[in-house]
Amino acid sequence: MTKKVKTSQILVKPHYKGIRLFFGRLVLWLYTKTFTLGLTLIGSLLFRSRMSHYNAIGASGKVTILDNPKLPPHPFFEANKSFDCRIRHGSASFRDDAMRAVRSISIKFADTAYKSPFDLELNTGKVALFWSVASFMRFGVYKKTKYGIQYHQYYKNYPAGVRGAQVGMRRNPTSFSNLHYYSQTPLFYISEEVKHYAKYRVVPFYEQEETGILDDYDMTIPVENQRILPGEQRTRNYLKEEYQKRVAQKEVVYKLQVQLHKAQPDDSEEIFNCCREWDLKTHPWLDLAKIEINKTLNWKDSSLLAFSLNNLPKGLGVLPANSIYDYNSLNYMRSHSEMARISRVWSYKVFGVPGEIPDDDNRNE
Amino acid sequence: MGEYQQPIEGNEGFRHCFETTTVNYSKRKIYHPKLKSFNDLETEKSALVRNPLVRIANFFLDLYWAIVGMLSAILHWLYPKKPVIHCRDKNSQLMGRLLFGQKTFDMDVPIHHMHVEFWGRTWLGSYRCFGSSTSDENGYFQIPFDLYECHKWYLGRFRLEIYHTGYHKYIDQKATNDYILFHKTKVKKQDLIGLELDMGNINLFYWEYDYTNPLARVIIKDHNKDAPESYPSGRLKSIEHQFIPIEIIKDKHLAEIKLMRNKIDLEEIQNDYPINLTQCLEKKQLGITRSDEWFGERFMNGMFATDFDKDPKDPNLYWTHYHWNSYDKTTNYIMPDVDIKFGLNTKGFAMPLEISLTGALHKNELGKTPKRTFTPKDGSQWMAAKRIARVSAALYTEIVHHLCITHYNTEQFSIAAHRNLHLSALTNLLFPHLKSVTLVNHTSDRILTGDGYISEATALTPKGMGELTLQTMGTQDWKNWIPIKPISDQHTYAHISNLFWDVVCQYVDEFIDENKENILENWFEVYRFSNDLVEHSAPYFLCNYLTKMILDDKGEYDAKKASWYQTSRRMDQSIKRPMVNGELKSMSKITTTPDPKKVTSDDINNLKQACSFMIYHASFGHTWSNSKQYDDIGEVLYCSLGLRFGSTEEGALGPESDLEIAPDLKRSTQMMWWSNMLSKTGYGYITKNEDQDINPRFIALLEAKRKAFKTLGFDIDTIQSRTNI
Repeated sequence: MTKKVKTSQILVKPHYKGIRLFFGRLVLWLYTKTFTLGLTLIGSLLFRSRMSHYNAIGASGKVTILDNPKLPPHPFFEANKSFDCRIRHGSASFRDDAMRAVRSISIKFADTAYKSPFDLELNTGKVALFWSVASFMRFGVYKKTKYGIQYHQYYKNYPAGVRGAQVGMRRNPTSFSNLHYYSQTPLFYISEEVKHYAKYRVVPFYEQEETGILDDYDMTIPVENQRILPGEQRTRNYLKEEYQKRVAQKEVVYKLQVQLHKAQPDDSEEIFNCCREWDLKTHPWLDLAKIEINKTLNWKDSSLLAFSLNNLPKGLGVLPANSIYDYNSLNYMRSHSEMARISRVWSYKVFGVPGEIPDDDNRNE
Repeated sequence: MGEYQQPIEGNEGFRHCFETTTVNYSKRKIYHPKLKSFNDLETEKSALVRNPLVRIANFFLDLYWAIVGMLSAILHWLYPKKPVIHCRDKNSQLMGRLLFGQKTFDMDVPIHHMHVEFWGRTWLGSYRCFGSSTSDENGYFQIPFDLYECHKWYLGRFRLEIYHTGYHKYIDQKATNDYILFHKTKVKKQDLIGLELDMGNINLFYWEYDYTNPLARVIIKDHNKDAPESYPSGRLKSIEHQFIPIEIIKDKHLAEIKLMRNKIDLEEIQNDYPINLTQCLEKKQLGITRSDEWFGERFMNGMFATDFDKDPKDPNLYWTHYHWNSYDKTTNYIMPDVDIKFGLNTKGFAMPLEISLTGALHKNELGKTPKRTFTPKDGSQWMAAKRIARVSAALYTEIVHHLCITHYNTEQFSIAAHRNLHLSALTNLLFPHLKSVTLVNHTSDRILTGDGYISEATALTPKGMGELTLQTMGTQDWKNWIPIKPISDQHTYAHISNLFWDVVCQYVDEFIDENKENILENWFEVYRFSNDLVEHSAPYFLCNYLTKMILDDKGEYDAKKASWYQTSRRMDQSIKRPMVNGELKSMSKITTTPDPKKVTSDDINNLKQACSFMIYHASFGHTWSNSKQYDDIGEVLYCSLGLRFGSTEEGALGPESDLEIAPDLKRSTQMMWWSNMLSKTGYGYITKNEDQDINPRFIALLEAKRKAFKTLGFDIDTIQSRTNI
């Protein structure tokens, strides 16, 4: 049985001390709460919309924990244990599958709309395009969208954002099923009182080439330009439709993997930086679970799905953060924005689910 | 015309004239008007502050600026910019790229090795430095800084500061570099969020080439606002103190000419200005300055100090040529081609034997190019021919030797140096000699060239002037350049030039050898300096006559065929010119490699030669052609820059008493104003070292030769270190 470990014990040496540490945490809390309140009132209640990844399809199936002796033991990841599950594949920001966008998978270790013992949210790209609450706020401030072009100023200011977008965006993948998805920001993972930091990824169970990776031509297009290519024949929903057909024909199988870093007292805070990869030689990906998807959900059920970083078993969790510049502040904010999710789901239930994305010629939206 | 004891310059009887006409005269008095700025000088009416009310207002304005300066000094004292970097952990970076910045040109050319600093200020005003760095060879810079230090609550304003290498002072024999703030860019505190903040491409309007000018010239839109450099305060004070009295004389003349033309004459104008060398000599001995002996001496050792090509048929004879007929001209002034044949007398002085004038000398001859040849037997016409030859030589010296070879030449080196030399020790060697030239050239664009004095007082049009300057600059190259070889022991100008050249070469050799490690470390700067110099130099030029006379059938230099040709003080025609965009360029490359490991001894020698060439021309070369102007063009009837057709049937060959040959009254007083300004308002002498920026070693080397210079009749204290007038 895993003992309860105080999250404060997981800290690397904090930058702030004393009163600055107090104010750093206070400001982070205020930012998070203000953001959540704004998102709840404006996003969830007024516009009845997700903050991003609105364009998505849900599915259900089964997760089975694999027997991997290399994996440090954790009671939740008991070998051969199975869970019903739901996943949700989405495309970030725009409601057009043919646009250049980051794609995602969210996994819920239960066949429910919200409650579950373990939720994960992952995006394409080994690194992210923002790395802290402060950077996320800048991302928001610089969000100016016009004809499929957005975040121009953000990308201009922050090369890390450009790198994140270049590795994360996918142009016209053939299927959601062959993409690689990464949690990017680490969570903690405590195995027999040994503290680890963990990053997760989901890849196809049977090896296949990832599609949609930006080619040389796409790399010449500024990252802020996410528009469809001229003469694009794919429809706005082609990726969701493809997934529907694929699952109807045969179950889609994924592999959930984990990358672990044993916590050290002299760890640099860069270990938490979601814009940096961990060295694969010292941090190999370890097989964790098999995900078998055999049924897709309709638009309504897909929309009612909500995933939360608070749905985590003991010994797995969000790392503490001390300021808005702390790399772990991103997950801190995610875990503190529950109100926005719940209010969105309730607004759907009360006022109805927004309409499906039509297959019309209204592109680049 | 009697015989004269030569050298006249060394003659005890005339010593008084050589000594007294070179010293300065009464300085500006307190009641005299003030000069607004150097750039406000005008041939017509300089912007002087005369109105008592304006002067009182100016006094208060000066007081205001003094208070502002004092407050600034207090603030600086209160809030010093301590170079202590506030950083515990370099967890973020401020990055960007420095590029030259015209809207249409130079946009993608990186500025390398510029010093950049990241500063913040507390709400109470004190400074905090968060990091510093230098742009790399592609102009990129990264300043690592501590994000958490920046986000302290009491810090509010942040900025990126870009510094360029300024001038140097020698303190205790060592150069202390001065980095001057060139540009600052605001950084938003909210944008500091960790990792990297990219400031993007920062285009600096920094020593920009003027692409509309075929010569390598810097863009200055507004002298007082966007010039890439500024005069030292001492230079401005010195010109005001020295020049205001002359400016007042000119202003008085212009007013008199306008209001009472019949009441003022040339003699009065001349007498209002301080007496010059030729007038003084004439007072001692009438006719001496119009003699053949004096004529020869001045062509050897005066302002004109000409090039002597041997007669192809008789190596004991020499030719000097001033050809104007291929340039665009007006018909307001005479401007014949002048060819002068000299022989050497028994003492070794050049004596004019024959003067040929090709071109109209009378209004009736306009459109024709008659050729006339005069010899000493031609009496008054010989005297007139000598006068025309003097005027031609003066104009040629003014444009070619003074304006082009020193001013424009120095400017092209100055631009390339300032754009590219930032960290190299060469900045210590070169910058003190290259400063201020772009400013004075900018002023001359308005008042001397273009529509300025030359096009008003000579037959050359602005277009003709442009053709001449472009061709001249097309013959300028540092490679294998040496000063003029003496044609005799009496050729003191050549001896002095060579003596100074030896000093410069020794100084440069020593400096580069001593600083070789640093120079090699920053060799990329030399490489880029060389590239800029070559790419922006004028197209190579060789006139048709020389093409026929010194090149073989294949277009290669033929030394045997060119045995008559004076090779010293001229471009080496035997080396291949670099090609840029299909055009042969005048300047040679100093190096072809940016890699210090591939630098050869030839590259080092090239660098030494190029540096010596720069320093020589910016200092002694300019001093000679500039400071002797009052001696040789300080008496209107003796010599000016242009002559008219006269009022008699003899045309321009008439006597000096025909005042219709001399410049009109307005041009005459302006002529005197020019020669006074150029000769009498010096600042920045090597030995005086007013700005303390001259290497003490250079001064010591020069001082060691003081006696040798003195023996040749030259005072080293008169050598300016830079071309600033």
